[in-house]
Amino acid sequence: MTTHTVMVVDDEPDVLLSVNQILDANNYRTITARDGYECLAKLKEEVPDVLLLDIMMPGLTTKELLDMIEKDNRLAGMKIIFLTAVHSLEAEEIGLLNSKRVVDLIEKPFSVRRMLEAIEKAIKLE
Amino acid sequence: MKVEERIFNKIIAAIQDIGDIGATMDEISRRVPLERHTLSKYLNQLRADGRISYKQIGRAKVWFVSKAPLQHIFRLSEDEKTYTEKIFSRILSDMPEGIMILDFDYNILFMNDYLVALYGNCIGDKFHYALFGSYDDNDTSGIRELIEGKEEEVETRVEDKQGRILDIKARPVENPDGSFSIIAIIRDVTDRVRNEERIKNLSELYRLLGESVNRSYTIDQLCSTILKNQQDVIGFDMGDILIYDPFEEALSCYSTRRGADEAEDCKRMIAREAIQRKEPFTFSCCPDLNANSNTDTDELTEALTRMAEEYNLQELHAIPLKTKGEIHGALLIFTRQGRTLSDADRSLLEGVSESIAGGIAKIKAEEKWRLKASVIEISSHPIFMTSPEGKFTYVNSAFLKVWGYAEDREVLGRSWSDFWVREDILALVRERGSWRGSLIAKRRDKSEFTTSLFASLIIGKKGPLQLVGIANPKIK
Repeated sequence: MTTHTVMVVDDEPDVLLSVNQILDANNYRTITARDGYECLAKLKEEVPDVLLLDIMMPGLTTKELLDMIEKDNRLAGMKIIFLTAVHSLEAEEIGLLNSKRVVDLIEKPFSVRRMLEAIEKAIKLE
Repeated sequence: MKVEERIFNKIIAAIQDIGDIGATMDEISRRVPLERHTLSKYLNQLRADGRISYKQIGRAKVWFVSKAPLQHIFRLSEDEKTYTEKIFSRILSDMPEGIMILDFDYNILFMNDYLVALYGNCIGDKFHYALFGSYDDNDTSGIRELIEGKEEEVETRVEDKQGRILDIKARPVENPDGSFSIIAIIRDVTDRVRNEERIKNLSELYRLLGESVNRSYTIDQLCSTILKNQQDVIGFDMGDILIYDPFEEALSCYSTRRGADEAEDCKRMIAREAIQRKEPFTFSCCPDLNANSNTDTDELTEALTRMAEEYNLQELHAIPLKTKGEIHGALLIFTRQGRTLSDADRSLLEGVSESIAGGIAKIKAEEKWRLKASVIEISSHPIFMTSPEGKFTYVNSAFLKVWGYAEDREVLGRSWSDFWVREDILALVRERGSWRGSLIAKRRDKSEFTTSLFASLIIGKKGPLQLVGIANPKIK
């Protein structure tokens, strides 16, 4: 059975820890990053199948991060799911949902079941 | 008193003795026995001080005692002014606030460029007429108090004949001839005061809006409070908030005054237009002229005109209520014939519209969640929530019934182990995020029963928030 890789990017250590632990327990390999810069650095080393991305993080804005990912052909197959406290309409307003790589937006608080289903669906899109 | 000052006083007394026709050097020297050159020196010193002035008549200089030194300075031609007078007059003329000198009969003796720009040249006019358009000196400017010696200095704020708001600071000054003038510093503070009023109104509207959102339980309550508050702060005749329902594509109307069906339809048409445009528009209707507005739809203009006639309206303002990316409805404000909203009030309403939309969105979301909560409450499946550590925070009626409790306060705050035999499930849910299976549950009377359970962890902004479980007891 293929093990899929999910990168989780969130500045909240408890979210990161919890999601990381849950994905491990559900047979996903996980990579974690605390902000956009760390995310970019880790994406240079490895391309995950799915990127779980928070919208409001310090440092690089999500829009900037998304633009950089967009330009990188190596990341063409990577699917992005937003895990965020930002309302979907606001995300749409700031142009975060325009990218074809963005396949879902899960508003916090969210049930783990909803997240796992979204990841499963994103992997099937590959 | 110094000798020099005594000589100055003698010279001034000599000029005054001779009268209003002025005194020549010879006439003065007959009263003040000084050498001609010495007298000339003292005269020029007095002139430099602004206490006396002269008029050149032929080859002779005729000297006068200055009644108002500033007036004197400004009446001189540039060539006649001393260096100090030139500098002084330029400073006074260019001052960014008004300077006015009055005599005790309220005659304006001098006004600088700032005031000339506001009122034209009113030198020689009466103070009250020039500023307030009346000859009545019973005003609030405080000048009368100065003249009557009741005050030594006054500072007042008044409104002039053109509606400008003026700050006036005035005090009397003694002239060289012993008479008194009044020097007034006048500043047009209309813009500042209007801005302060706007900020005050805006913060008041925001405060009231915050209160309305916090205290309202339904959209109906919220809209009626918002409209009432706006009417109190701004003052308009009729107001409506139309809330947009994207699923039904309908607009529900909340108004200060409900009209006939036709009028309500018309309001909906106006609101739809504002929602479609995503920006405010104004329609004004004058009785003798054709309706004029920034609308370009014939049907809409027709509806607006009908409505304006029906309700004797002067103006109609339609403002879309939108938060980022989402339209929630429109705010309609109407004024009756003879009344208009000021630009400041209009911008106030537009400024506060996003917050109104935010308030509506909040109450709408709360209503939606209350509705969802009621679905959970009436579900026949026992549903519960616990903290990640397993303390019960919510149970529905079905849970209470199946577990044999009468009220939720008997359950809330208690531990996982009080209701379930297997305590390890809690750790499993935390670790895997969710769990599904069959479990043995413990009733209030300690009896046990088997139920299937689906439990999932809920993750919030800061990490794990709650655990939600749905049970499906197996009925024997």
